[in-house]
Amino acid sequence: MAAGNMKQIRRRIKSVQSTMQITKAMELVASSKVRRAKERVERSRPYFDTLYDTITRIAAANRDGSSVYTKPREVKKSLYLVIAGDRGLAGGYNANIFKLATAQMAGKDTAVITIGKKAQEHYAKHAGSVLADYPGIAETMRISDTHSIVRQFLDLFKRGEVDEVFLCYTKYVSPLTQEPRCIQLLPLSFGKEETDTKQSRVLTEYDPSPEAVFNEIIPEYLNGVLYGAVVESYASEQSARRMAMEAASDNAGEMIENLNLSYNRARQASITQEITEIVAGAGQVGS
Amino acid sequence: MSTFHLKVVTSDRCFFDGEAERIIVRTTEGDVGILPKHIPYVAALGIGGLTIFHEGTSRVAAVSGGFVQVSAEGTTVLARTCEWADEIDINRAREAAERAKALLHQQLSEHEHDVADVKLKKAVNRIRIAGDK
Repeated sequence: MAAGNMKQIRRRIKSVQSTMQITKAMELVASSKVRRAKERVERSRPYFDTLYDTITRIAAANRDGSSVYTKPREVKKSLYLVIAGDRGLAGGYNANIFKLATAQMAGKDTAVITIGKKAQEHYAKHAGSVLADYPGIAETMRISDTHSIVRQFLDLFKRGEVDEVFLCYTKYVSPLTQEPRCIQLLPLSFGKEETDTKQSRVLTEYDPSPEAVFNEIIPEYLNGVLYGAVVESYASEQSARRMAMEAASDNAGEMIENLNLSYNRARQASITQEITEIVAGAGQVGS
Repeated sequence: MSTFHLKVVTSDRCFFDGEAERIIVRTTEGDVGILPKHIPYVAALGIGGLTIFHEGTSRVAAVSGGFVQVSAEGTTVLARTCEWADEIDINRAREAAERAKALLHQQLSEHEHDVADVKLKKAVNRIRIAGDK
């Protein structure tokens, strides 16, 4: 019985070891990707900070303006852009963003545009209208890739087929924390406190007019926000995967240690038993 | 000579960050020169050149899209694409121009036509800027 037990344990150890090899490799891949993704986030941040800064200033100057982008309307249909990963095994990364999106969508008539293969799979299973899927674009995303997506929802918005647009993505806070977030893209809304700063009261000249500049810049802004969100989400995904795989490798290591211990115990037990048997046998022969 | 702080950013890098004496930039309304102590100003950019005068020299870059913003703290140019004249691969730009021209001769939807048109303008702009240096 002991020998069978030992064989079983040995097999377990082997299987855990090969799993550990995989998780270890995935961890290494993810950590090198995380580094690149983080650089991309950092390189793009000045652009978005400037973009956001300017747009809030202009929005403040254009408060009363009845730009199609800012005017609130009666909401009949809401569009959600959901950014998730292209692959699984990233801890709670994909599940968290879907949970947030589902909570946000509750009780609304919604349509969805998905970015990432996991989002595509998730919403294909659920009832509701998926307008478009963009799988597998996050890793090599360039800002020019956002144009077609932005144009699509901008057209829908202008035609009145959707009345508000939200974006669900995961913000990369630190290597240890990623935060799923949902922001409103259209109609544009900026917090009062941000638009009431002193700077906004400075008389600014708009060439040719505030409306024209506003209408030029909004698509630029949306492109920028979408690109930023994809870049942040990608960094979050890799970071979440690295953490999940690190935990998995640690667990596997611990498991191997425990299994080794029980293997040695079983081995010792079988040796002890053999000795006992031999001694008992010798005693019988000698008497 | 008085200068002002100029920052040129694109989505993937900080293109220029420093003091400038004067810049000339192409807005949707035409070329605009900006000197120190300019009044607060915002304009959308077209497809054209950006000339930066600093430390007694000038450098030219090809810019498309984005906007320029002047405030008391400094001037910010936020461009969709931006590259120095000497970074432009003129052969690639010529090829892009040829491709866009060929595309324009075909039957296209209105949107496709617009896209090809913009591509051609961008390529021509890059060729012009690269030849200017």
